[in-house]
Amino acid sequence: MKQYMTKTIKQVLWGLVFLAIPSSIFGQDGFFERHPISISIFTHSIGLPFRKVIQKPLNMGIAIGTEFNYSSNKSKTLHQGIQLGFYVHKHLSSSVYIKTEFISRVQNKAGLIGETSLAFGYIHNFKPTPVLKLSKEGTYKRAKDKGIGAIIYGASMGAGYNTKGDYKFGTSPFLKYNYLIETPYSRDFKSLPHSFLHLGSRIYSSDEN
Amino acid sequence: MKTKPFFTTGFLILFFLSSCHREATVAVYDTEPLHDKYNKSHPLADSIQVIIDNYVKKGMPGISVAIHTEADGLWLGTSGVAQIENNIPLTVNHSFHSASVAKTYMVTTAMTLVEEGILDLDKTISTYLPVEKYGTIPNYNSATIRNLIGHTSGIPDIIDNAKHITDYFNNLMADFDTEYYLDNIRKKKADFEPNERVSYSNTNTVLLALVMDEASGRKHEDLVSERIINKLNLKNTFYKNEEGYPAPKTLVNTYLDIKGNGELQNISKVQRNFDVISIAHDAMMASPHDYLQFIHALFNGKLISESSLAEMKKYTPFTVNEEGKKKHKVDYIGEAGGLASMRLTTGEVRFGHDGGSLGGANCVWYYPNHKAAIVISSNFGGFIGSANSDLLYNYVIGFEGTLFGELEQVVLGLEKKEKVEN
Repeated sequence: MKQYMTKTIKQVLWGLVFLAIPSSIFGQDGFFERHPISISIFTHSIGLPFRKVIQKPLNMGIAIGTEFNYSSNKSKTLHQGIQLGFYVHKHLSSSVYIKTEFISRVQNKAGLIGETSLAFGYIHNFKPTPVLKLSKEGTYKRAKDKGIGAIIYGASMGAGYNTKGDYKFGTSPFLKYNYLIETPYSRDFKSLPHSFLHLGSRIYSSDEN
Repeated sequence: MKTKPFFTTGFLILFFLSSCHREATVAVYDTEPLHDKYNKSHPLADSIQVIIDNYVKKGMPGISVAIHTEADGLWLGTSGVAQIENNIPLTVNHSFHSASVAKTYMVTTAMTLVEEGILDLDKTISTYLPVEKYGTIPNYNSATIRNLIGHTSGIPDIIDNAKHITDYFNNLMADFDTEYYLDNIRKKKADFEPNERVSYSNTNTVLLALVMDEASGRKHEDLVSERIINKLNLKNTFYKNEEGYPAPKTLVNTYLDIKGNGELQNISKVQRNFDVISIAHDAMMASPHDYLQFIHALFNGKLISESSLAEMKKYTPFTVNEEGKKKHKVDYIGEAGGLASMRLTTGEVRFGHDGGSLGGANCVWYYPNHKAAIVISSNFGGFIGSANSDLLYNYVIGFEGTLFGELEQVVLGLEKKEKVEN
């Protein structure tokens, strides 16, 4: 299992590296042009799609990311995003993830935005309570929680608003529902479905334009 | 691009998460000995102790066993701990979560109502459960009480479905009630028509408890207390009514290997909450000696009549094909009335129940041919597959490589069976 996870982690990290290369090479209008910082807070839940997305107690998280623009058409755009997030699910795990997304976004003249995306990444879960491991003497001892990793993949849909209608500067608040499958999860449960509801904003910097 | 803050933040988060854990232990006590009148010089004592010590070294946190043979009487023994964190040794008085072993208690209680003419095994559940509240349960009009206790009702499982499992993982301290559980299967298609085949479903026992409530006009937990726990004077058995429930002083801390990678978590609070939100199919606690007294009493006419026991022993085989016979070396693995049953090709037969929950693992078996009983309880979560659950369970009688198989081999004096790959 450990060997398998190490292999999985390597595969995912290499995958993310390769996915990032096209962004840096083919992103038009210069290397770091049009890369807003995206910040969001989100609720996290386990469940079937759209089931109990917001519930008590809330499991909260925060995400930060950026994205690269693949097209110059202002009404229909294609982006690649990368996001780092973490959340605390009280009784299940504290988790950190990194994922990349391929985003298709449409915007009307009033600045209203709709988007869908496909995502792929890596999640690392830490247990909410102390970890106990069997020692060589045959007794359990408290051990450091190194966490355990898995692949995540899924899709999302969202809506937002571009405050200035100008794609080069400003803020763009958004609401986004993200559904991700984590695999492998455990020996009996091969996968675990996650729902994330993000509320955040993309912030476009004029400094680098 | 300012990448440094991005990755620095990431590393800080990782450091924070890896070192941030909530304490999860709950108090566990060793009380005044309840059961000290057992045969400490039982001829099998030493060999059994060696076996259970060995399995604790292999990774089971604590093991408690109760053995009864006609010739040598009762022996109780333990190995390991009731709580890992404070190294509290396990004693024979500690009680364990029943998991599905509770089902045998429910069916036994139902059979007492059958004997009194309050319940009729051949009546449908619609006879007892009002249509306004239960009419949308699949097979409501066709499944009988006999189907419920034999798992031949075709009613889908309230636990083993994606909606419930994900809901539960979403909030392990959820305050679900019976209505919530039943809502998960209402209006669903039945798995099959009643009597078509056998399929283990927790829903059957929950509905049986509700039927008992409606038919008797009393709470089923009152009946369980009256007709089993109090009748047998079981001081270390707890179900809803008993003092201290759901956290009696003798209850062990329990541990789960949720990822199946050998790392345990203390899951005691979650398991105790599960007992509160569940009825009938789980939610009991008892010491191995009390489990043994129950199964012994059941097979020796102290709880129900011979004909009622015969009804409970009627089985519907679910593993009868040649491949199954070869794999398990049994004639059949059957689901009977609140009892599972298995028979070796040599004629050995066992009746009883296994149980595995997030924080419990039990085997409670009786061997009519030998008039012997074996109970094994452990404080790890047998519901989720892990190295520990592999060490405990196996259907092969006398199987070398599982605790259950090795104990059975010694207690029944069986020949060793070769290791069989599952």
